[in-house]
Amino acid sequence: MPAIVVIGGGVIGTSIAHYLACKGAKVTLLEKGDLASGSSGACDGLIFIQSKKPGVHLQLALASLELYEELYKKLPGHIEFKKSGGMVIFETDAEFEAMREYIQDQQALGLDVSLLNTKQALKKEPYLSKHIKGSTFFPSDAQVNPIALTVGFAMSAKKNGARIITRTTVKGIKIQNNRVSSVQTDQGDFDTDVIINAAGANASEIAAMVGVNIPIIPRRGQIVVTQAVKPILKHCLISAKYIAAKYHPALAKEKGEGISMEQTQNGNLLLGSTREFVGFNKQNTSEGITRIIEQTTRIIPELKKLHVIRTFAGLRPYTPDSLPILGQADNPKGFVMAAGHEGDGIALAPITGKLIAQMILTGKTDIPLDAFAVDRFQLQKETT
Amino acid sequence: MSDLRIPFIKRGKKINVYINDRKTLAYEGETVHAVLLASGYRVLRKTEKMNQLRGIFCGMGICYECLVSINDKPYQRACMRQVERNMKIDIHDILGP
Repeated sequence: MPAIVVIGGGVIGTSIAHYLACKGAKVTLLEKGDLASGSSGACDGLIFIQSKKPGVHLQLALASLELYEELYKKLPGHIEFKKSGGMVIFETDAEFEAMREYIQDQQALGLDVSLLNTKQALKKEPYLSKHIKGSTFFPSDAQVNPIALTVGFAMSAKKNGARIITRTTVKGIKIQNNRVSSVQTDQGDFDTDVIINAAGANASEIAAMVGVNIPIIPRRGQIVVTQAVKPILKHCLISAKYIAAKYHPALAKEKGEGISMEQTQNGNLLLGSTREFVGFNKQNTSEGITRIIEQTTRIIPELKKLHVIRTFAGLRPYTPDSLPILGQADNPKGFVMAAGHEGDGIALAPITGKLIAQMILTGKTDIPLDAFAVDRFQLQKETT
Repeated sequence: MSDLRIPFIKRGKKINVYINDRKTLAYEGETVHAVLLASGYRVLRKTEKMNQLRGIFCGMGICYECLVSINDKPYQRACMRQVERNMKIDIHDILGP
């Protein structure tokens, strides 16, 4: 069994540590702050399946959802996993028509997504504003508590023999004979055969330590938190613009970035989000907060009665093709990437953990990871 | 209806406010929570999960227990607002199931 170091204590890193430790592997997880002190602790808990790109991305998401059912029972603590169902809200006829085709594609793949008109949408979600044109509905969209999930994964890994080491910053990586040999931190060195880079928005910095070029850049998502109230939302909601903005940044600039809404088990609503390239700046802005509030209260007017109790922002790891980077680097040997999930980290954490663990321990994966290859951006560069 | 105020204190001008639509005596300069206490209202709401009774606790704006609706705006801290002529104060559960 190889010695493995996982760099990053967010949902992805802890998920990998859990799946590896449960198979008896020798794992050490290194986290520079505290568990979930990066993006995993500054996001909402949406597990939105219906918005994933059809193809292997959607396949991963569906597989991940299945794993959630077991994790809910198996992980220590309460991860607050709930299959509340999800709706994409349309405010204009144009959005409705654009989504109609998208939904037909999804239905052709066997997804149980339906298109609802205004009346049907209001029946499902009574607090929706009457001006909306309709929505989609997918019963398998879900939500979870990302911090509880991260801690749950870590505690399970620890129970299965993993070392979870926080407040430890990776300073460098030693390579010997073109293979990783140890990780250097401010708390000493850790000898290892395999290194998994699960450092999220900071993954490029870690990869650079071994000369691997990774195009992950941070994309800020601001979130507004309301006071806890009795149940208002029955499902998770996103606006059609929210999906469009992810894949077409230019569209986000002119038409706005759309919104997402989730009511947590405690009763607070998490309202998001922005998609901003502002480096590693995690501040909230009055423009971001105002826009989120304006757009969410337009869709659910009842929100106007609530107090905002705090705001925060997370740096989501963006990649140019919106797909994560999963797999072994060609050089050095033993360097594995598992980052770049931008906005899909929570949904894909379980399957990422399972497949990366599988890849390291058996050399194969149940779902092929070719589309997520580490060198795909280099190859694209070379062919243009 | 009660008036539990300590007598012989110099108060502001007498005004009327409405507590759950009931005309109630108040004095300018009093806080909403003082008027509620003086008029005999001690329970202001019930808790979310266990339906326990709540009223005034800290009296100084940091505990958020004394929440009432003021002029149809819900979740206002009664201890942080002074009464105004004809103010509408409602004690009830907002956004019920």
